[in-house]
Formats: sequence, C-alpha cells, structure tokens
Amino acid sequence: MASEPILAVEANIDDQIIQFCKARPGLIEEQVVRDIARIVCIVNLVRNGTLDGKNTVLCGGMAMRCLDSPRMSVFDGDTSSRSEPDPEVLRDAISYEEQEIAIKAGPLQHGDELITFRPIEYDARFSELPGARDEFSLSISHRGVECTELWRPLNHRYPFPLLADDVEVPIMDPDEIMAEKIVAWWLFGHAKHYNDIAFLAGRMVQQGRRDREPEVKTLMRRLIEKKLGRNREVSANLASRVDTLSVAERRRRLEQSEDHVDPDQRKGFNSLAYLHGSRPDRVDVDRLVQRVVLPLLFD
Amino acid sequence: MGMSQSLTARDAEVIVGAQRRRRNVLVLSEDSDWLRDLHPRPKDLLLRMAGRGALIKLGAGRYAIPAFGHADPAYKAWQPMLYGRLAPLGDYYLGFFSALAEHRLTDLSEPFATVLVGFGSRQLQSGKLEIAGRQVRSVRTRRPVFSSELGAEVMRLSRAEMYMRSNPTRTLVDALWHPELSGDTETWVTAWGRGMRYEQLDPVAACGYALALGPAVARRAGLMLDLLGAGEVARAQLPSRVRRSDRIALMIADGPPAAEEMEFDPFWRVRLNVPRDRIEGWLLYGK
Repeated sequence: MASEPILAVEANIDDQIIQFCKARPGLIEEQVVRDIARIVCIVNLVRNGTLDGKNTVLCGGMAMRCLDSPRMSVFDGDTSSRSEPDPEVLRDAISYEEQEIAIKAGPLQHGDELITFRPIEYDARFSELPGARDEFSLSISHRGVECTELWRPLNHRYPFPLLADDVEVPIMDPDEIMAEKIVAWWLFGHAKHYNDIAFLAGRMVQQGRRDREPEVKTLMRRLIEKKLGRNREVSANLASRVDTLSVAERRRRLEQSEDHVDPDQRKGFNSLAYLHGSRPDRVDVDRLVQRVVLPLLFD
Repeated sequence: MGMSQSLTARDAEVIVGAQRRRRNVLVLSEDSDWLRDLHPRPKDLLLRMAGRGALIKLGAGRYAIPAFGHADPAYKAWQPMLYGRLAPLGDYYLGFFSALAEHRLTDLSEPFATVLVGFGSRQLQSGKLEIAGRQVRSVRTRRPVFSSELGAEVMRLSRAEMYMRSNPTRTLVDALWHPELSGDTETWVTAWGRGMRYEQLDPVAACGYALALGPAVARRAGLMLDLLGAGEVARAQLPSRVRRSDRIALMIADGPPAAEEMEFDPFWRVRLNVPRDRIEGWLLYGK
C-alpha cells in the first residue's frame, strides 16, 4: 500500500454523491464513483512520475476539465506520449492501492499507435453504491506531443472533500488539444469534438482574442498539418481519409456542421455528459466556430 | 443527507423472511401467503414499510428490499429492481443504449433504462414507468427473440439478484432494428466499430440475430459488416433471399427519409440515408 493516501473522503461520501447527482439530472451515482477512481488513477500516475509532462501528458476530456470545460467523459481516460511506452511498466504504474481504493490494470489492447488498458478494475472501498466495484479504461496514444506541457490544478469540481492534497497535472497545451480536436472532427465527426473546439475557441476569445494574433494562427495551422501527417502514417484507412480533406472540404466541415454532426437531439439522448451546467446551446457553439475557428484557420 | 431507515421488529421479520426465500423483490401476489403470517393485510404491511423507507416501491404490487442501512434506492443496483418489475409480466431484456453502456461499447451514459419487451403495458408505452427514479423507455415486439440463442443473457449479481440483458453482438444488431432507443446515430455506429476492434462483435452471430429480426435488419447488418471489413462473413451467412425483396431498406431506420440523391448499395439493397463517409468515420474512430 502507498504510504500517503491520495483520497481524503468523508464518512458520508455516498450521501454526498447522491445529493450531488440529485441536483444534476442526467448524472448518475456510478459515474461519479468511477470518475473518482479515474481521478485517483491520474493522481497516482503523476505521483509516480509516469504522467511527467516531459514525455506524457493528459489529454482528452480530463485535460479539458482542467481547463474548466464542464463536459466530462464517463469511462475512458486519455493520455498522450511523445514515445512508445513500455506496457508492462505502465501496467505496474497504473495499479495502486490504499485503504479507500484499489486499482488494478487489466489486459491491454494495441491499436494504431495507441495502447488501451481495458478494463482497469477498481474497488472503491469508500463507497457502498452500486458502482463501487467496476472498471474504466485508460488510453495512451503515442502519436507525438508537439508543444510544451501545461501544468494545471486537477480541478475535480466536486463540492465535497476528495483528495488529501491539491495536485497539479500536466496537460497537453490547449492549442495542441484544439488542433487534435479539429483534426478528429474532420476525420471522425463526433459531436464531442465539435463542442470541444467551440469551448477552446471561447477560451481564446476570453484570453484577449488570442485567435487574432498572427503567431497563434501560424502555430495552429502548423499543429494541424503535423497532426494530419501523423494520422496519415497511422493506417491506410486514415491516410485515405486525410487525403480527401482538401482545404475546401475542411472549411465545409466546420462551416456546415449540420451536414457532418449527428443532429439527433430529437431522440432525447444527451450524447455528452456535463458535470456542471448543461449542454451549450448549439447556436452559441456554431457561432464560436464560425467567428473564431474559421478565421483562425482560413483567413 | 441520505435517509437511513430504522426497522421495526416486523420490518426485520419481513426482510429476513424474504432473504430466506432468496427474494430480492417482494411481489404481493406471490408472497402474500407467508406475509399473512406476519400481518393480516400484507398489502398494508408492505405499503407502510415502503412509507418508512424499509422497502422500495416499484409499482404493480412489487417492492425491492433496500441495501442494509440505506433507504435511498441509489444504494441498490437498479437492474434487478427492473427485473423484479418487468419479468413477471413476460419476456424482456435490458438492451439498446443501456446495454451499449453496460458492455462499454460507448463512453456515454444516460439516466434512463432502455428495454425490449414481449408484452403490452400501457404504463411502459406511455413512458411513465420509473424504477428507482429511472425512466424506462421500451419497445415491444411480438417476435420470439428473447432466447439465449439470439443473444439474451442472464446477468447474476448475487444469489438473489439477477436481470436479463442482450449480449454485445445482439445489442449492436438491435441498434439496426430500433436505433431510436440506441442513442444518437454516431453513438451506436461508433459502437459497431469499437465492438469489432475489441472483438466483442461476433460477425457470424450478428448475421444469425439479424435474420431473426427480419430482412431489412439482415441487409443493414450485411452492409455494416461490409464496411467493417467482414463482408465475406456476411455474404456467407446471410442467404441471398434477404436481398430479393423489392423493398429497399434505409440504413438508419430512424434517419432521414429516402431521397434520390442518397447513395444506394446495390448488393445489400440498402439506401444510405446517412452518407457513407460519415458512417465510415464513426466506425474508424480509434477508441
């Protein structure tokens, strides 16, 4: 067992989780318990030097959360590495035990320059809720990290005590995250990518219209070309999708998102989980993409 | 703060009696005999216990036993409570979006349950049935498609707790049948890609399940397997008669209506009412 526990939850943590979920229709208790297990996993990876910022950074939904995005992913955790990690070293690094929780990395699956531990099993001993013994997954992409990492407080955003200490985690530079999201949107077309692009665009606006700075435009365009190039190397399928992305097509996919994104909100599925607040209004999301992202990339 | 129930001596007798009988859910019509030994009016007994938080009322004379020391239904797995409520009415299983989430075929989650049922129920149809605070969304079928041979499985959580669920392959095939319960199109199409990548999807079984659900589902499954690189399996497993029908199937059953400009797959006789490029993108997503 670790000497210094990561978790510092109160005895009535389950009641706190239930109350938290009751105030947020759409969020369920087992999601929160799993999220806490994932947070512990990440803190442990920072503490044991695996998530070091130099070679490996947090990306995806958890990194977005550290940038104050209200969206949360509920199962997978994403990291990105500059070089191919040793899976067995990683497996040992992921597994963790303290009085309140035990985490054990299970089998790993190799994807295209991607390693996914799935499942990572946990026993959240602090909880008697149904999700207390469950699993999550962790992906480590080794498709390269271009920019210097950014250290941010791990902002779990729960209103109840959770961690013994405040922790900073290394996340992928937000401009690089945005480049990855834009490329993912072009290649795969998931609503979460489009929403994240808009969130990051809004962040640029709040930072004094960084999007208008010539060096930011140059950087974004360079990062996007780099990411497209990396995707081209991953597989023949991806290469052919990259090659169909003319400049006009890239622009069209951002301009006419309704032709690209699944518009099925009428079915009553949320698609995206929000830990705080509600899904942003589609009009606002589109406006940010139109007014910030398009000029950033094409003007 | 969550409510912790304090049990009366009779409450404890009811719960111990249920546990001895391996009952996780008490059903008034089935448990009245032994309950009458404890109280002359079992209905009143159970209602009062539910009022005190000693039982969780599921409706239709059914009551779940709360987790020890915790009256809040959130402390209980909701799936066995759903089983307790639906199984006595006929065939059912937890499927569609709920099963996609349980099989980790999606990273998304919803606060409602999606089920296939083989019986009529006004309450279910109206969408007003809630189990432990979770709305139940359902679709009814008259087809005999609830067997283990067709991918329905029994999930046992403990000696007394169980429920029915579709296996991963059946869940994916069901999305071609009733996408309206399976999440946004990008969600369940991405799940097909993930199922193939992580070997949760059995292409041979998928063809068998799809045939049982009708020729339109079979043709959609054939095209989907084609897009995933398993077209040979589909062509070997799906008899040519499924393609003989004059009717053209829409790829996404609840998607846009057919239009001339939409791509048509002449082999599977399926109209792609969501562009092939988009479906391929979702299927290709690497995680």
